[in-house]
Amino acid sequence: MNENNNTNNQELTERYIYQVIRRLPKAQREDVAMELRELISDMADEKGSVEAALIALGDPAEFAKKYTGDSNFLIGPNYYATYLTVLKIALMCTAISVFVIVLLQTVFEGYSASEIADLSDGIQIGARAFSKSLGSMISSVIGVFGSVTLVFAIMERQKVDLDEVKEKEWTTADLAGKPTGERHAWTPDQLTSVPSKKALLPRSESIVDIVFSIVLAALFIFAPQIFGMIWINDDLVMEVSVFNLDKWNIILPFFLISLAIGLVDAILKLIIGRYNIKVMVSTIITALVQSLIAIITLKVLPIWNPDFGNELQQFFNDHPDEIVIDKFGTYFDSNGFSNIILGFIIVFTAIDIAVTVYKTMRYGSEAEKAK
Amino acid sequence: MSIDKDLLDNLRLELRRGTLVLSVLSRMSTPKYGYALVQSLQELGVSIEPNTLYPLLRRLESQGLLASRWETDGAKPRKYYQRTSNGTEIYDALLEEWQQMVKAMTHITEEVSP
Repeated sequence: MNENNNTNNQELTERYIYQVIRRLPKAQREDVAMELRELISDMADEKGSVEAALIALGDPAEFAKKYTGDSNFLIGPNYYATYLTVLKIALMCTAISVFVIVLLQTVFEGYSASEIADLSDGIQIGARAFSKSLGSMISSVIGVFGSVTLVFAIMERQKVDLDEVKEKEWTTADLAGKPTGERHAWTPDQLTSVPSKKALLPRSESIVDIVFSIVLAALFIFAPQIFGMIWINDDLVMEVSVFNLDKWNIILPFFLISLAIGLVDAILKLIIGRYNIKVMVSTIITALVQSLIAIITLKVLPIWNPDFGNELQQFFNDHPDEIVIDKFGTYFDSNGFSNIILGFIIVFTAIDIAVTVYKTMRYGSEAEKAK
Repeated sequence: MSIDKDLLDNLRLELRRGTLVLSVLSRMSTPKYGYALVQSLQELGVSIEPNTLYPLLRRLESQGLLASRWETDGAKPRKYYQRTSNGTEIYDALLEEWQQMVKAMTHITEEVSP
């Protein structure tokens, strides 16, 4: 009887301990188990029975929580604000690009695969494409949500110090390859002037830039054919791409490099949030490199579809009632087209640089440090 | 209006948290095992649940304020904790802080008319 009771008590103790330690990191389990065996036996001696001891100790899950302590959250206050910003941007980019790409691809496939007798067929294809792209959008948004959260959860566990990276001042000691390590003690002269409203770079603008760069990059990678003209001729989908898709593998990297540089610039603007020297330098470098890439792609690379003019003429021939320009094909001059686009790019870039330099000189440099 | 019990519990917990560290450190100049510590604190009027104390001891050990060793000679293995020299330094500093706090709090709550 007594022996029975003993094995029963032991069994209860082990069950309780198991429920605690299975929630703890492996390295702690054995030691905590020994510690709990000691505790439960001490308490049982005092309270008269193992059962009473366990009742006093309470829910093993709660007990385990006290052992794991402050790692009871996935993403702590240090990272939360950054996490939300990154998450917002990542979700917007994913949602827009996946939705647009899947929608267009499904519509194309739908039109090529089926005969379109009347409007209702078209609506059906449209509806199917819409639901499919909505589905893809939701599943990829969930995936991105998970990945971003995972990355931040890992940073939280590893205690990656974002602020240290951001706040550490660069010194010549860095050149010697010796990280200074020490953080400069905060002093009031580190307070930068409150930026005047005109010096602010709105967060929303930078976020739009970031989303725009990523969505455009996704479209260039996955659906370059959508840049052009699409029409239906006798149940066949006719596509005339404005780009030279045969040479796409040469052209694409230039577009992507240009977008990536723009993306870095936009992220920098989002972090700094106001005009200052850093933003000005970044804007100028970005503008110059992007213009250079634009010149290369437009003037050197075979970027345009050489048949664009002729194929477009075909469209006008097929739709005599829609003729706006007679003999469009003969008028279409890819060289002139390049020059017009290049002209626009250079004018806009010049304006962008001028505005940035003006705003930086006028508002950005007004005493970075209060004297 | 009746008092919000959850709120009160929460505030009481916050108030107690720091004093528990001080209470535990005060007892640890000689080696003690967990449950004996629960009982001795209880007798001195500081009630602490074992499921709070054991994790706390472990945390203080990981912070280098306590050291532990297993004593396996007796009827059952026991883990004894004792203050390290670093723990003693910290304890002395905390104690001084506490005494000033008590003085100030007494002054604020009893002697100064609001």
